[in-house]
Amino acid sequence: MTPLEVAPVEAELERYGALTGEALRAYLPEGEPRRYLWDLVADYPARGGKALRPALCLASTVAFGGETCEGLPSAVALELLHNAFLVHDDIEDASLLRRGHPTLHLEHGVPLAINAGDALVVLAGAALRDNRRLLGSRLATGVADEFELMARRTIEGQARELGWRRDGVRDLTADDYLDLIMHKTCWYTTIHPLRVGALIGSLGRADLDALVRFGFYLGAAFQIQDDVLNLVGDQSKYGKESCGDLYEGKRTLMVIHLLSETRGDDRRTVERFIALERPERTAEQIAAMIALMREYGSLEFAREFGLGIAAAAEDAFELAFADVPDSPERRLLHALIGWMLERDS
Amino acid sequence: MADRDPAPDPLAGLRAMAEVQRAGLEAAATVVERMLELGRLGTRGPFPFPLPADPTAGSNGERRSEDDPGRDMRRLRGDAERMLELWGEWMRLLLDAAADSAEVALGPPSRGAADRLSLGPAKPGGSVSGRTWLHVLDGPPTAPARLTATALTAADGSTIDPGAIAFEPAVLGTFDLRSSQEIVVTVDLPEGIAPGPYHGHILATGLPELSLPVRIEVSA
Repeated sequence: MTPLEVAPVEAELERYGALTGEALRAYLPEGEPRRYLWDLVADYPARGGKALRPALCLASTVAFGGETCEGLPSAVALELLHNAFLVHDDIEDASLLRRGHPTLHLEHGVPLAINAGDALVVLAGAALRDNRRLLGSRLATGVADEFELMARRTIEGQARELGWRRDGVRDLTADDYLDLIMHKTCWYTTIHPLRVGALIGSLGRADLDALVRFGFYLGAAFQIQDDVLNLVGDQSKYGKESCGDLYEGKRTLMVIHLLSETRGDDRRTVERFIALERPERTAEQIAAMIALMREYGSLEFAREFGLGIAAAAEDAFELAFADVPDSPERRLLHALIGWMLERDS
Repeated sequence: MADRDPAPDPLAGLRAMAEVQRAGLEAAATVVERMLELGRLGTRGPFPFPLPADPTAGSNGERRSEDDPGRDMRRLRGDAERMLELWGEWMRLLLDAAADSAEVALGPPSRGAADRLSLGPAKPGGSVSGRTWLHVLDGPPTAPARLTATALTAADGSTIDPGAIAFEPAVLGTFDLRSSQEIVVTVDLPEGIAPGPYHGHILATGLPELSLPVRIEVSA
């Protein structure tokens, strides 16, 4: 089996992104009110993105024996829901940039942005409804159940992270971090798209538990790399606010490592920084935090921790795809393990 | 003679990295197995809420149907209505499936579908491009198909020759059932043509039902 390199992986993601984007536009209403609603709804999807979720969903559909078009409404629903989460997350996190441009609430105000996020959720429901006609009631109900489970997990994870920040929670471990990203990120970024694709492609026969394992390891490797890039990545490629996670007080693996390793004055510096509200955090404090992370090896720790999880993803892939014949789609899904750790955007 | 520091262990760094990787792997495995167990425990029953207590139940839980002799009949009727509803839903699904099959069977042998393509506005002498998707909804796989176009015609009779229209790819590969192909259409506008909308169609050899409407806006 020939492995795919990083560049072909990105070309494949782009191809799936274009396919899903074209289908997604068909779900965007063209009537009024454009200025206050539909233009805002179309904004984030039009900004592009890595298209990881639709690619996983569609590649999994085909790898498990289905047709690309059978997974398309689900891929569209997933993208719409993803963008809805982004709009609301950006407000909750007071984020400044999304995909290289000002966030929706900065451009249009919080009330209209929240409403546009709600509209994206409603449109995702419309895309899911089309599954009934395409896949039949039994399979469409199975996919809808998967969406409900995914949305529930994601909201639980988001609530946990927001709660930690509100209450200034500091006594966290790597286990807490993994449990958080299992809910907040992995379920909807990797686990759910893989499971939905497998469900559709195999007509409900695939072992979905095996895909929870592979999806989680893949998603955790993705998230850890995302956290590292947020601090030391090239912002022109990364697209989000540089060091935004630190400004927002997120409990990333590096922050948790720093809290566990520092003592004395360094420990007090980190604790004081964590206790601040976002507007109180300065560029100098951010630079000091990154310097401490370098000194205590927190960045290296996160990278190595991610490598260990990527190794687990290799094993989990072989188990989850043991009965799936070789195909370009299967190879792409396997190649994503390495890509997660090597990507720079 | 002063004691010399022990020689640094060249493998210490590697061991430390391996230890962190092992910690990552083990922590992740613990989290995912816990989540899977939670999923198994959280399997829902038919109702997510407890059904209200039967007001006719006695203290020992037995229903006192003798207090309301018509209740059993009403319950029986409710059950029968629910069964009829389910049967009706089942029949509707069967009919939907039959209708879908009939539509496929009665349709053209190789029916293509596509969106409408709008291009421009663009000025005379310029060039304009657009992307669209061609979809084959049913029918057997076809041989490679070459894309062609009709002349684009304005309301006053002005035309843009088909030779001014190019496709990328110009030849479509084998078109499988329910597959899609993205194409790029480029139109070179002749100098001096009249402004306004021009209309025509994109066609493909081997796909006789495929006809993609094209509209191009020529600006002044």
